[in-house]
Amino acid sequence: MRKRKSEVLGLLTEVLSAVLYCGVFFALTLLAVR
Amino acid sequence: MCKALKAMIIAALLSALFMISAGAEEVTDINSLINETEAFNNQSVTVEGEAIGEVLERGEYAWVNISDGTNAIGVWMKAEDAESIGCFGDYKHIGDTIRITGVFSNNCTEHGGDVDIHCASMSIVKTGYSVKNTVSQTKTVYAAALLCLACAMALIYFRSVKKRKDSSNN
Amino acid sequence: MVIPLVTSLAMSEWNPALDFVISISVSTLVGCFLMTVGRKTRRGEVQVDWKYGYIIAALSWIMLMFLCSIPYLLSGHTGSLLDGCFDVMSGFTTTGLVLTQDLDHISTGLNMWRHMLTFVGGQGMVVLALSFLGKHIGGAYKMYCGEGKDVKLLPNVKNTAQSIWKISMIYLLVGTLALWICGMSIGLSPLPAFFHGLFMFESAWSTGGFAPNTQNIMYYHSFSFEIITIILFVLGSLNFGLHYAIWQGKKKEMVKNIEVQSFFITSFLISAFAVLKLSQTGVYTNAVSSFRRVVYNVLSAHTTTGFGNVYARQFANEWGDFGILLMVIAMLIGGSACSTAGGFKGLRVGIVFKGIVADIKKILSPERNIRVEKYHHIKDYVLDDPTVKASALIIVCYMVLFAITTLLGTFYGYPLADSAFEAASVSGNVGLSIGVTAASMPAVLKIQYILAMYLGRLEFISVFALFGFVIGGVKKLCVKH
Repeated sequence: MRKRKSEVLGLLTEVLSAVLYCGVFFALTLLAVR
Repeated sequence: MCKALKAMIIAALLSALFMISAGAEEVTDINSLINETEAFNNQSVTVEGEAIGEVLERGEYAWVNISDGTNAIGVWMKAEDAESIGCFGDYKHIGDTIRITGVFSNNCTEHGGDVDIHCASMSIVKTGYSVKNTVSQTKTVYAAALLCLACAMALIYFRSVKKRKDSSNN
Repeated sequence: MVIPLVTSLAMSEWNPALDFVISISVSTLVGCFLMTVGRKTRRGEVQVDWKYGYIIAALSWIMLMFLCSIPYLLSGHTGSLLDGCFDVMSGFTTTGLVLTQDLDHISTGLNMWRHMLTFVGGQGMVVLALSFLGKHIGGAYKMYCGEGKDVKLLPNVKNTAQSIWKISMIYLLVGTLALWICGMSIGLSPLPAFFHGLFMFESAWSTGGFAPNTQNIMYYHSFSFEIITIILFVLGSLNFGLHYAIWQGKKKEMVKNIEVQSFFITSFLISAFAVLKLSQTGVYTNAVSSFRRVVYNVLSAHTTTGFGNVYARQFANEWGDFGILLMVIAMLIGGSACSTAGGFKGLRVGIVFKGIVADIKKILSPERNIRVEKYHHIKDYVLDDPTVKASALIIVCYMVLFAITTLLGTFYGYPLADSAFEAASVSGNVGLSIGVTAASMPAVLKIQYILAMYLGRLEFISVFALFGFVIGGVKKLCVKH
């Protein structure tokens, strides 16, 4: 059960990190192209 | 004398009309548009191609992707126009050939930099049809023969492996 | 091949169904033949050395290339056996360049096959075999390494292979669902949306770059669809060891890992320069356009995915030499080691970079100081000379491959920038095209591209071992007679 929980958390961490990564790039693009 | 003159004037007028309409209806192939995006940017163009895939409806407007054999491009048109297209191209169909006149953008600001055509007018030139994918007899025969052969070989192989395992166990 | 067969049957596509029956039969026959020939090894009577592991990996890819091209050839959408093999190799190596004609009219079964090939290829054919085949595979780890991976998730190679599959399958479910829902929201009808979702997931996760239509990702005209693919292909380009570590609870790995850091820095720098240059030249001056057309393509190149959000010729005509070179660099650096991505790999770039910095520090610091440099990749490792040398050598191999492929392109008359772009795309298994790849390409160039994709994916050693083995064998034969 604990293994399953850590896997789900891991998945969420990865997806959120990727979303954050996209967000950072988008923000930087907004700043670069005014 | 009068009749001949009248006939000539009518002929001249008719040919002038033809010349005007021919100029407006010059069909460009999609690949040329893409190879010379700068030249065609924000120009009115006419393309003719097969509607492929399906309509992507986005509220009042819709995307229809068309392919004319040289390349494919997305056309942004009114949803009602899109709905008038009866057949779309895929494995089992050749889609309607439609003629689009509209403004070409190589960097459409409305659509995040997309290369597209905003349709001003559309007409269906040729209706699409279902493609008859006939199954050839030779292919069926080959398939059946190979399948039988493969099953036979697999059976022989696994039986011999099992025999060897049994004999090595005994 | 059973999956596409079932798909074709379900969609009432009889011709493709027969094509797959034929392909399955031929493959079974070849398989039985090979197993009969190799029965001594099965019984454990032959010692499997390191070289055999590498050779098996390399050779199996070639054999599979021929077998898997059968459905393509029978479909009538490929111009020749060479074109069919090109597409198969492109799928296996998760490159994504396409020579198949008229993608918009191919059967669902064939599309299922293409995307499956890239999904499986991303994981690795040897990995697939190892996760299924039984207990007594001598030299399993050696074959696993022969495919360009060497991370050991778990002590047993079979378990490692199964772990890799488990991670991919869970993402398959999550990713396909996300794309399916998005697809329906952008106007696709339910069944096509499912297939598009599945195919685009397989292509994104495996950083392949195939798409079910000619226009690639431009078919969808959708920012949301593109964003989901970015998330999927960035995650797909990460090291499987990293995924495993994070799923075990080591969340800090996401930030501490050398590859993640390397990737973040290089992708950021390259995107920034590209966005700035292209807005300066007036090509993309709107933020959303810049993000969708510039950043997307740079990330697609860097992760070696190959989803193209502009037409091939636009790279040539609008991006300018600076833009093209930036893309070449992004494509060559590539993604993470032991993942579905290609290129030099961020790990090597990070190691070599740190190695250079360490050398400079050594020169500048007092001679009596002993400095030990470390890097963090799941665990802490010492940055010693052999490690730096190994990384640097492989980078050199990639550069040589890239140079030869570019040279060959220019020999056939293609402009330098175009040749370099396409060469980087094949060497790094990316899949973006500037227009060189076409059915009308010279056959020698097609063969070179197939070779480059193959070498790039298997990371040279196994292919060199195969060549060496074959040449050694031929020499022995000549000596005998």
